[in-house]
Amino acid sequence: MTIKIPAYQADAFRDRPILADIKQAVEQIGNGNVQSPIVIQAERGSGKTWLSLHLHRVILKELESHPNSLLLCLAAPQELQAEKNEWFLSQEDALKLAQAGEEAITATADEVLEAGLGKLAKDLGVWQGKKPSIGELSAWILNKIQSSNEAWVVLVDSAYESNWRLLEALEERLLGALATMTNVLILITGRGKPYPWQSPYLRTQARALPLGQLGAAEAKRQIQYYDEVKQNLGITIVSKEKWEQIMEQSRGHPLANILLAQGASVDEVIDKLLDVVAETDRPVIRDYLAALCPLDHFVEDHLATMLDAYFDKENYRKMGRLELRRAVLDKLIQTNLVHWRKGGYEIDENLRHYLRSSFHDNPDQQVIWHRLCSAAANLYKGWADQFPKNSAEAHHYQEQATRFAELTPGR
Amino acid sequence: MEDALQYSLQTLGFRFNPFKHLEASQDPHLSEYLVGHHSFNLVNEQVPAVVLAPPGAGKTAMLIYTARSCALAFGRNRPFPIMYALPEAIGDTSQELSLDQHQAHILRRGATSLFTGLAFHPECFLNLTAADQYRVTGLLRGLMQTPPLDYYLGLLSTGNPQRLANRFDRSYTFLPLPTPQSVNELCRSIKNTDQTANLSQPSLQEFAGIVQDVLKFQKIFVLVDGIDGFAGSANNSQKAAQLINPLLEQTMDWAGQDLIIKGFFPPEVASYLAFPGSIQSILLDWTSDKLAQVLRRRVYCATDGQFETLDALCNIGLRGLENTLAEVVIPLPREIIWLANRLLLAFEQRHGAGGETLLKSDLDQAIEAYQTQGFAVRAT
Repeated sequence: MTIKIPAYQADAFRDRPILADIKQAVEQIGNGNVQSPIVIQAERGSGKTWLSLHLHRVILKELESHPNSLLLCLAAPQELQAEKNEWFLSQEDALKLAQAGEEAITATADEVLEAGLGKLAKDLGVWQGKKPSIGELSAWILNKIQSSNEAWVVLVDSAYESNWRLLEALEERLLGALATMTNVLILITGRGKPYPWQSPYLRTQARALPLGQLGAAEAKRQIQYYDEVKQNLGITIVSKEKWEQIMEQSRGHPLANILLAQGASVDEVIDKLLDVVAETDRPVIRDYLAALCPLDHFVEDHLATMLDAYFDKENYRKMGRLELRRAVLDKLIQTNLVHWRKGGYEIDENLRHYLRSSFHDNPDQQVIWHRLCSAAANLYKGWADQFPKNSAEAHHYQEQATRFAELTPGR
Repeated sequence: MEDALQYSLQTLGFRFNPFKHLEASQDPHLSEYLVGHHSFNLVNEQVPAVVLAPPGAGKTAMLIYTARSCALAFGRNRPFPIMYALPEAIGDTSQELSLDQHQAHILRRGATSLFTGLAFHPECFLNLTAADQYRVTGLLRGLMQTPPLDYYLGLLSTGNPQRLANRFDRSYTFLPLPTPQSVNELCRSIKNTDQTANLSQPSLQEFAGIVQDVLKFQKIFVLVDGIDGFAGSANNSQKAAQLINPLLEQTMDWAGQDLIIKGFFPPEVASYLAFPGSIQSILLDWTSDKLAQVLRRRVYCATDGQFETLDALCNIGLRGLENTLAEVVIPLPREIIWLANRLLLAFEQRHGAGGETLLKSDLDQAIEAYQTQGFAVRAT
């Protein structure tokens, strides 16, 4: 049985509450003010790219105000070709950016962006001459948008997880100026750490909107849709009638919901979520994430203890802090599946949920789970002892120690 | 010292030391990590306003922020920014400044700002009709006489306006560069416009008229700063206020002509200023939480988002480092930035001996230095 991630299909898009806020913001374009950019930061598989595509290809066209739109996908959507007023960063170009060294990266980012702006300039009918420079392409597009006196929505999808030098070039050539135009609304989606835009309009004045999960009714409809059109889309639903159990497992996470409905195991869901990690790094990243998933947050001081407990060896404890940071933490951060939040690193919530479930579903893994909980309990107990007895820190760490001790049989 | 610190920071994942610059105007990364502040709204509104804050509270950072957001838009329904810093206008408080002198200084700054802005946005000039190009060129020639406009055109000979921005208006320094061809075309067009066009000195009102009618700016922001920065004024608020008052007395008249004065002054001068009572003012104050945010934002940018707190570099015995620092200092950004830099220096000195985390002893050493060696504000 093949488990497949469905490609975007307009009919398959399920309604999300965020659409009402976006439509309202679009209707504000042209009120004479610079529009606050909208930022949607969400985990892998939450439906950011589908949302961007659906806005561009369907929803904005249906609005009474008929705004124009441009879509820049900085990770190519699966099985789709860029249509008019769309630019998809190809996998080859993404690889080229990833492999460019520090000296070549600026030129590479410009070269990649030049191709993208060239496509948009042709689509917008502003291309002139045989071989325009990137500056000319940028100026033509900006002039076209500014002088049109019409509303424009510029969607930038998968921004944060793409190459940051490309974002720098994109801000310099396009977004920085667009953000100052009163007839333009910029909508940026991404996962992982937010890019620190230089433009005050893009950074300090941006408005974050939550994407959220699918509601129960929409999650059910998602499964029903694919069950009805399976012949056409290559998606085979095997557990339509179990949609409530699927929903319980997926908690409305769109990608997991449809994978589980195809009969995928939790491990297969995790594998699909880790698709974004280079294949060679995937096994080791998965081990690191599994080792750390019992923790809600972690910091560098957790790493050696949890990894040694996971592998049941004392390898990581022997490593220096810097070595450990480079070998483990830096690699995890690069995946954009782990981010800093409120005093520690956090694995994406849905991914963490499936990683934990994977331990519980598999009896062979229970031993490792208990070893991890025991190690965490000991670690927190040791930390609690380092602080004065009645301090908030001692209390917090003692609470954590107790929580993990309760998850460890025989303690 | 700085090289060694740079090396230590690189081993920890920093691209640069985000606490190196105490003076906002010198910091090349300022626009990356400026944090939002409730007073930004008032500063951005197109009405006269006064921001009151002691040295080190972020007046200059806010002024640069405002000027840059206007420079970035350059037209497009935003005001035209003129940064008017008093130390450039006068050497000491023994002199006096009449309204005419203020206007002359503002016009000179306005002309160099306009020329710099056009160099970064050549299309704004090149798309004008010949008659409008003539008017703009006449304005620039009239105002840029010593040195003459040709001197400034010479600075653009490479087709890159960065040098111009670095020297004359740093609001533009981070802006996207135009193509060299378009800069060269701008220079050619200006040179080719009748050189006898208009050498008489335009008034501020004429300047504003051209900026609005021809270049389509909504209004003009006159961003006044530096009253606390020149000799003699520091301990004589009344005298300092007297210098600026001839200008401030015009606030309402000028606002009626779309010339919006935004003053960035120290609080002790406030009671002597001739601002009308109806003008909105705001005190740029900082809570501990906001100061901690200043540090976290800088760490985030300097590490390319790898982490956003110095806690990530500490062992478990040390937590909430930014808040600890914020509670120690006088609540001003410059103070906490100084202390954070001192903390990194303490780490660097020990790092040679193999330490890889920030320790409580580093923190204690930095705080001791802060308390004994003098506060950053006094030091500067």
